[in-house]
Amino acid sequence: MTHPFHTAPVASGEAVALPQPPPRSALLIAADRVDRAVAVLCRGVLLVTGIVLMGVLTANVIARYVLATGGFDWAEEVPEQVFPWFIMAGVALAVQHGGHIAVEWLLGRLQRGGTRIVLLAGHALVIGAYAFLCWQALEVGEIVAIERSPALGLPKTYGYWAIAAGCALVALSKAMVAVRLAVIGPEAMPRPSPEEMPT
Amino acid sequence: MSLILILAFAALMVAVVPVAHALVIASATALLWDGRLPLTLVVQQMFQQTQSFPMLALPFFILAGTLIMEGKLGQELLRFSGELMQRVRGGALSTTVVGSVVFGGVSGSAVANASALGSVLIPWQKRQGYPAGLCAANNATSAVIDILIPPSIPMILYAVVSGVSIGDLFLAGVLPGLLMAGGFVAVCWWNARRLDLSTEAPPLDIRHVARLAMLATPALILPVLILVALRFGFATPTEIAVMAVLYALAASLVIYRDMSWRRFHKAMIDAGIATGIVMMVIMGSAAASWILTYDQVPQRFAEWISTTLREPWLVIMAMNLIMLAIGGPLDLAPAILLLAPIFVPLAQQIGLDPLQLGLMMVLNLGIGLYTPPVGTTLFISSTIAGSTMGETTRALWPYFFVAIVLLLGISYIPALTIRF
Repeated sequence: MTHPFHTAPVASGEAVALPQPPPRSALLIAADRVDRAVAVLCRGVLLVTGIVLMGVLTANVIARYVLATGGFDWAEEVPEQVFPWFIMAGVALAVQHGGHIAVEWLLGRLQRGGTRIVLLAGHALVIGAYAFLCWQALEVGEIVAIERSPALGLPKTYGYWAIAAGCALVALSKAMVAVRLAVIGPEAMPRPSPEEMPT
Repeated sequence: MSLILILAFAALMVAVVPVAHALVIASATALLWDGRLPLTLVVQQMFQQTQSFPMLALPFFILAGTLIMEGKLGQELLRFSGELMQRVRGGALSTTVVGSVVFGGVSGSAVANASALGSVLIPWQKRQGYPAGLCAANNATSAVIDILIPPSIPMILYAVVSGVSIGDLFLAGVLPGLLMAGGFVAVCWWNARRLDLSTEAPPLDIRHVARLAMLATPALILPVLILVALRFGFATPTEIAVMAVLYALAASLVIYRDMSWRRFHKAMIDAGIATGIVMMVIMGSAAASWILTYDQVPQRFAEWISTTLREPWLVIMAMNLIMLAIGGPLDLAPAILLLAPIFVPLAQQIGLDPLQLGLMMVLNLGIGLYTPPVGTTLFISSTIAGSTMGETTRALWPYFFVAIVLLLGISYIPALTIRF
């Protein structure tokens, strides 16, 4: 955003020569590649599902005032199928961006080594838990396959697949953050931009 | 089972596990410990939240806010606020306050507001002679006005948990938001007087102001359109959020001509990430809330606190103190999702309107966003201003005073929370 007032002098800055980064290990390069693949996938899912949701909801509002039936009977079923994918893509991307909110009280009281150990232990726990949740979601998805939506006849399974896929991507993204934590240290923890913070 | 849940959650929080993941893991741990209920319950509760139609409003209100704030429309809003305030004593500081009110009408996020306004206004305020700590404190506190003026993401969260209408909450937030802005403008004036700083703005040009007002109008009328659409039931809150996105897109394409696929793409991804962050907390807290409700914890807590404290005013005071204590270390979204299921039954027991409780909660936990040492808007603003936490905290006190007076007003004067 540019400066809005005539009273303000224009800020100027000279280009600063940044130090060359050290050569990256094969492990870090692999982590970057995995992250890039996850990011491309999640961004694609977010964009497609976001546009579909917008389109369906807009069409339903228009249809409510134009059609005698008062809107489409499938208009609520499409978001039920699509929204879980939108959410879980956002959840996985948020892991890469360090967006999930944590209370970092303890970190200020630890040395660098202690911080690394605490963060790595936390990451290991989350990776294990979400791998387990992924498996659970696939199990429940199979059970609810017989429940079908009234208008489109779609099973609830797809929504549970979104949860399973999201949990798997969370575990994978956490693993990549853990790799960086182990190789580089606590400063490798990602930090979110303010635009990505919801409140 | 609830005790295990609480202990596991506390331990995970201390171990710097993100709140959302801590809720999920603590819930699974509690179920494992108990052994009577299936572990699939966690996944089922998580999935259930993704089927909530009102929650669909979240990404679209965030998207509308991002599209407006990061485009020319946002710049026009800020120019208009600055033009209105820069001739008043303390006007440079007050521009942030008024900017938060007008940005509050398009965005529902205090953190995004603190960053957007702070990065533009704080350097300018410092050049006007205001101390860095004061600029940071002013920015950190004013950003919270954003979540009182509709649309408000925390209000949507509270509405979904409590069952209170989103439209009622949005309308009820307007008066407290404006009162807070008035109080903060007074603090800005007092600070400028104390520091003996006067304004050096050019004389008022009515035609220029009118032109700026016209350019800012598409954004200024958005909250009014939202409230009217909700009041007269033209569409559901979710559909209105989508309409707000289309409105922002149309304004950017037709009036300001600054929309590009790249900008839309970035805004959608940012909205998706923000939604993912909130929804993961909601999904985690759903599993935890199910366990707490299964053990009848909210009801027992309500009974215990109402029989211990007896007087409703004391119960309200206790609720406020608990929220202030929790809102400091814990972010707004998880705090609402954890406290609302416990406090709503308590409010009903003492005859407190859940709508009033919603406003109390949003304002109270909003104060947590600038409570040292971990407040998010406080941290962002101090970083932008280049002030130490101590400098910013010292300048915070008058703003704290105004916010606490308003909080007490909302808590004990129902007339301050207007209903449809």
